[in-house]
Amino acid sequence: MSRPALVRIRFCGGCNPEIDRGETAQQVIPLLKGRMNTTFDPNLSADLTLHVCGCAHACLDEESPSADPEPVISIQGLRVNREPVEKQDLAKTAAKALQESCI
Amino acid sequence: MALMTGQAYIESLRELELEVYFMGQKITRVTEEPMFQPHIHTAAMTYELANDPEYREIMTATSNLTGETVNRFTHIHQSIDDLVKKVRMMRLLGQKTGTCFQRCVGLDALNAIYVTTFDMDRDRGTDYHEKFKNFLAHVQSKDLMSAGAMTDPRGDRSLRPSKQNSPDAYLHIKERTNEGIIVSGAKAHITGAINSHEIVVLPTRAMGADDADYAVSFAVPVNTEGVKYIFSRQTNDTRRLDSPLDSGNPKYAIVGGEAVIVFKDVFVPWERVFMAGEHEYAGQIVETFAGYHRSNYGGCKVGLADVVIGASDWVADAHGVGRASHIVDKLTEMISMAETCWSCALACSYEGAKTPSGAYNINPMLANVTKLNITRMVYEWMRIAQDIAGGKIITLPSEMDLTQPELREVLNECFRGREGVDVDDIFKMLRLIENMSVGAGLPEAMHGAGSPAAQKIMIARRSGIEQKRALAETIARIRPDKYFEKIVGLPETDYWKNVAARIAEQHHG
Repeated sequence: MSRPALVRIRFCGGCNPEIDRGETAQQVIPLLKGRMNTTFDPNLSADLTLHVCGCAHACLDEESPSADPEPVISIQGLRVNREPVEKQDLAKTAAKALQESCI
Repeated sequence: MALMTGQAYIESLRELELEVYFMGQKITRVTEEPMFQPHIHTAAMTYELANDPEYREIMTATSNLTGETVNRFTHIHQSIDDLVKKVRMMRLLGQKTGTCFQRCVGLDALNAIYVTTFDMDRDRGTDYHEKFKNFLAHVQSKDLMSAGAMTDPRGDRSLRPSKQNSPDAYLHIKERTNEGIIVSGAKAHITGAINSHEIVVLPTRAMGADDADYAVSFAVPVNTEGVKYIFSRQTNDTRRLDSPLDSGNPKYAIVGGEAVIVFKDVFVPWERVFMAGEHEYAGQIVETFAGYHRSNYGGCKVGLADVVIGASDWVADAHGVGRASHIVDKLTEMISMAETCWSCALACSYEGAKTPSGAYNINPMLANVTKLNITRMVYEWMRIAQDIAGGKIITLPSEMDLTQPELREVLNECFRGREGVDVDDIFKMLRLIENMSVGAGLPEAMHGAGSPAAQKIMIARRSGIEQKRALAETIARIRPDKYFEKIVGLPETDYWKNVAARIAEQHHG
């Protein structure tokens, strides 16, 4: 039996966020339960990454070279992977994108 | 096709036969008309610098459509670096011309249409984006100048487009055929209209379902049948017919050479139509355009500031007060304001973001702040320029008096500066300051890319005021502060009880 994928969660600096990044991440985690594990530890070797950025600029996405294992799913304020998302759907959309990226 | 040079650009305009009017006259040869020539020289600078290795990095880009090198004024921004280079290009051209170089409206229109048509096609199954890319490839390959045409006359501002007494208060679709659309109406204040190759039309505001015929975007060659131009007047504009000296900036003029464009039953084939009734997207295209355009002002106007700061320093020095502490203080104030605006322009580029289309957009909040600062600070640094230059900028005799030998001697005495400075140069520099600080450039800084109220609406809409309230409530102890509780190692209520007990003990114990 293969182990569940490990998702590394990273936050941007949160200088002028459109969303509550901490709350959003906490909403994503239970939606992954049983299928994926999550960590905030940058030193753990993960299978994929969730960026939780407060605004569309998404400075983590601009990081070069990227410090993250692929694939990267990015919450960018009120967007997930550049597509606009209603605030109440952010966590659900991000969780879905994470799961789909693991298939 | 290789990038056009400045002269090749001017040559390319000669073959276009436009219907242009100015001061009641029909102008038959646009490139030969002295009233238009300085504006044409300015636009030519955007071509000329693209051919100079010294500026190629800023002035050109690699097309995302073809991989070819194109003039940056025809480029779709593909990265944060592109957004930054765009505002660097604006400042550079402001420095080289001291005026509006006209092409940023078209550039922003191209980018706004690119971004919005992608979303429309994705959501609605239309094919506008592919059509637009074909048009863009044509613009890039021919190195064409596009005049962005957004602002409608707008009639009664309290009424929506469909409720106006005259349907021509807003440019609109009169008829749809199998081959295309027929449009009528007008666009006002259109920069560079008479010396462009293409007119790129956008709606001017968000539209409702009743306004669907007004939600229209397209491109037509400037010499399309049914299109005519009425060139606008500017402060002291006809001085350029009297004397180069008196006109202040005889090479490049002032502001962009605006015109009213009238569309009378103009046919636009479908392959050049990028929105025709999709009213839900009118607001998006306007907002996207406005964001791009407002960010530019922290580039171009700062380039102009560089020129007027240099002119102010020169004039002070020519009159022997260059090192006076009040002059240094004033120049420093001007520089500080200019660099503040420049910081805003860089910030809204560096804080830009990728759109679903792949094109990059600036940070809209910061772009609106940039432009709002410009509406104030341009007036302020021009006020200081006038302060330093002195009253001469509004009382100088004309060049025609200077050429009279019997007047020349006394005028030289009146206007000479410190030893070693040519009085003719003093005249030139004072006229330049007059041109830049007294004329149409000021209200252009106010209203170009939208008036201050428009920026404030956008800033308020994106302010995140609820987040700021939450921050204040946390500091003021109205909301829980989890970090404070971790720092003090106690629930906040217990901590403050302890504090209260300690204070009571000190007072009463």
